Amino acid sequence: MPTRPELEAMLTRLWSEKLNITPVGVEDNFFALGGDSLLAADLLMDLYDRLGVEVDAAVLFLKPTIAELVDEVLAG
Amino acid sequence: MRTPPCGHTRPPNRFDLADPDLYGAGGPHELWRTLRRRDPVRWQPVEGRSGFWAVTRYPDARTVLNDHARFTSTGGVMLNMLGRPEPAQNQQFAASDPPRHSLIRGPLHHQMTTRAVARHAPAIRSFVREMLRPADGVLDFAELTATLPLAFLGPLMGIPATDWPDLARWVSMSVAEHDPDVMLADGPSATLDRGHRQLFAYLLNLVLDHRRRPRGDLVDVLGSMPLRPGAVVANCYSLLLGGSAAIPHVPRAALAELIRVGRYEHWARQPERIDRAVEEALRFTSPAGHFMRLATRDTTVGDVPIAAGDAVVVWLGSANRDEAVFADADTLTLGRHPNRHLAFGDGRHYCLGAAVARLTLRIFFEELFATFVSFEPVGDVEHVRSNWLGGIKRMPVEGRRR
Repeated sequence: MPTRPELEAMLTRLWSEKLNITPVGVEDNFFALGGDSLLAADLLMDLYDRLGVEVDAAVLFLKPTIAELVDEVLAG
Repeated sequence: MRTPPCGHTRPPNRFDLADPDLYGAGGPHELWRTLRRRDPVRWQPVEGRSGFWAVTRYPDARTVLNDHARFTSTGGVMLNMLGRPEPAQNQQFAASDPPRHSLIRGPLHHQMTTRAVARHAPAIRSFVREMLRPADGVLDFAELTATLPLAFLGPLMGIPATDWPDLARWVSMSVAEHDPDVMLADGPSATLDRGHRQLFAYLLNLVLDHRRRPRGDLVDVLGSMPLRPGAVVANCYSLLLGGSAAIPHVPRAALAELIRVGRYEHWARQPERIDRAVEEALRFTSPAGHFMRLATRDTTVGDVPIAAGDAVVVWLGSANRDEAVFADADTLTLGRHPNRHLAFGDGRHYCLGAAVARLTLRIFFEELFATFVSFEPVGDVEHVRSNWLGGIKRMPVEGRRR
């Protein structure tokens, strides 16, 4: 299991890539940064497929910050 | 300068066709009638956003819906997208124009033709019988019909019945965000976002589940197309909303009218005319209230000049009551023929699910007529508060079984 800093770094890279912006903070809201639902779905699918991280899709759609996602992954 | 057509005066400007309160007591049919007569292509300003052209006559509605070169779907197709960017532009069949539209829709349509959906008839019939089985005496006909979409969403998308209560609420939030039953304290826009995101999260999980366990249904068809994951989910979203938001409102509003005019028994006695009954119920009720397009160039509708970029909203509920096309348009008439209504839209975006909707409605009315000898109203009907979804959300009746 990756550690919190590793997960945060991984997700920050992924968000930057999807949203095409840097830097991304762990408390930033995905949708406030310009993300939309289609991008969020792309991002989750990348998490599953490329990084092997499984997280409930509702977390990204409803609590859309890296911090929340990491909490969820670590709790799962 | 937006000019009215020559020789006509405009109706007073004190109403707003985007105002959900106009629809809270059934369609604004008197207003639509006045507009069709006096101002059939009317500029409707919208506070905070620019506004839209309201098209209320049948021929103009068909022109706009058929001419995708002049009127694009890529800027969103519902009023709640007015002035917002459409993230699913060119990714989702509903928000694409040909030829892109046909690439996504074509493989789905293959499974949605009249011939293809006929194999679901036995499952739909047993679902409907099960729905009606416990119904007797005083009941809420809206509640009774709430699960109708599941009759085909199960076979077509692999959606389990246990998920329906959540899904139905999220669908309502996404199409009727002004209705007090579903609106969040933060207002209609937050409601829309929330419903939409809940559905996206749900559908992403559904897509993943189909990847692990393919069923050969529409979700699998989308999953096998060369689409990014977000686009697969966005198309599932179109299928789900298109399949579930409107259909229960057809039997509700049709039965409410049959009760009101005392024609239920007349209809119920003529099961051989069921296909015409379904078409007339669709025309009369028109639960999908409008579709929006954006003008791609300076053009005209009727004689009215429309500027490139302007939103044009076609009011299907009005076009379907156009007295120039439908004699006695405000009357629900079993024998109406021809009946080329626009309840499913028109042109390339004609409802993908029309064949399965017709099949389901036919089965529903057959079973309803065979099961119930009469209905009496036992309370007030409550309408949905929405400028898109025209329909009934509470309908206390007393049904007497045969």
